[in-house]
Amino acid sequence: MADPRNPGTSSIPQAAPAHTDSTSPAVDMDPVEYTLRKRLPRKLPKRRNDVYVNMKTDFRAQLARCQKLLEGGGHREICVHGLGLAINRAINIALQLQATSQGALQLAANTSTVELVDDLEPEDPDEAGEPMTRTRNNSAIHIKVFYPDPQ
Amino acid sequence: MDITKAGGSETSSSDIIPSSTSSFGLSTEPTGQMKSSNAACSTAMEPQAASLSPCVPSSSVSSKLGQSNLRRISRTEDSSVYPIPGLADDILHMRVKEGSKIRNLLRFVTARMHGEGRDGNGTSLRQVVFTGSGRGVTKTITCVEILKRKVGGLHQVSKIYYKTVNEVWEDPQQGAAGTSTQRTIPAICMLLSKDPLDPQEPGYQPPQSLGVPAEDTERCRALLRPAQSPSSEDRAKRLCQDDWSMWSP
Repeated sequence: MADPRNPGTSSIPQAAPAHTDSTSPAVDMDPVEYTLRKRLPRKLPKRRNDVYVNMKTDFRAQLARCQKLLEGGGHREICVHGLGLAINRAINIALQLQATSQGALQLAANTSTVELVDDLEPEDPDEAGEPMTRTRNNSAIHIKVFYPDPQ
Repeated sequence: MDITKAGGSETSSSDIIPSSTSSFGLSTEPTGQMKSSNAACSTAMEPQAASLSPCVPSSSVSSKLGQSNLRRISRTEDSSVYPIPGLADDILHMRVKEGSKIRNLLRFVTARMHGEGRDGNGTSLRQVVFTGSGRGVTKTITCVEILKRKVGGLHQVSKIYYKTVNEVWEDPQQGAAGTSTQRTIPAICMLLSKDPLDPQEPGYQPPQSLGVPAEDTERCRALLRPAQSPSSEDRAKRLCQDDWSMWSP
């Protein structure tokens, strides 16, 4: 890994690596200025009944989409995925679906870790800074929302 | 050490309101606070501001409710039962708050899981339960994911639920009787166990060396080799479409 910094800090998902704290000593600083570019998360497989929740789309639109899949789309189960900050929203959507179904729907939540890649590009191309990449981890949740099979 | 003391007091105390315990823990380790200021600067400031000026309610709540002239005088949560059935009463319960430091929580819990606890009379724990609500949900999941990677071989059951919080507000100018509000906030409860758990329980995850759910790895494998092994992907699709006639085990 071409990462000169402490890799332990990468486990904190909200930590912005480009943040410069004036009070802390410069042990964390790169000698060359870099621009941090976050790549998009690894493209995950997507079935018809997979919903990837983000923080840009309106909450009600995403909730309505899930309800449409379950009621109009004829799916017995859907999978709601959320990464990082969107975990809260994914949980909210799943709980709202369950509440509006009057107990007909069940939830099964799984958690995982997703590896994300950041690109570090030198701001000044004349200086001897090489483009670097850095990997960090972020938490994710996968909630299966389903009608339980009658037994 | 100051740090371990701060971690223990923060995690073991059942603080309903962000009390002086957490701000004391922060003030005893100023270097740690500075280092982690980029991670949770807003959350670290909140309990301090609340303890310094008790007349002003914490900013997040007041902005959400739009009652800036009201003062919250009590906040009670229903912390009676765990949503996971069959838990022991004396199980180690980690309450993750949005201002909790991940390193404090993990230092405490890994020591207990490895049997180095100060008051745990040397025996290592078999089970631990993590709960978090609101903006602490993400941190709770991160803690569990790191712990699973550190300890290994842990069975997991996750439950999500709504937690109801009763709040009593009063107007400091008029001194009138408080109005009580009831709010529901999303919460998560996760059980980690060294012993096997019921795989039929919704939200169960078997131990994994990589920490990726089985469904994901299966799907990744199916993506990598679509020509050779399309069976798992196909089976998943058929299961989802509920087409039982085509599916033969």
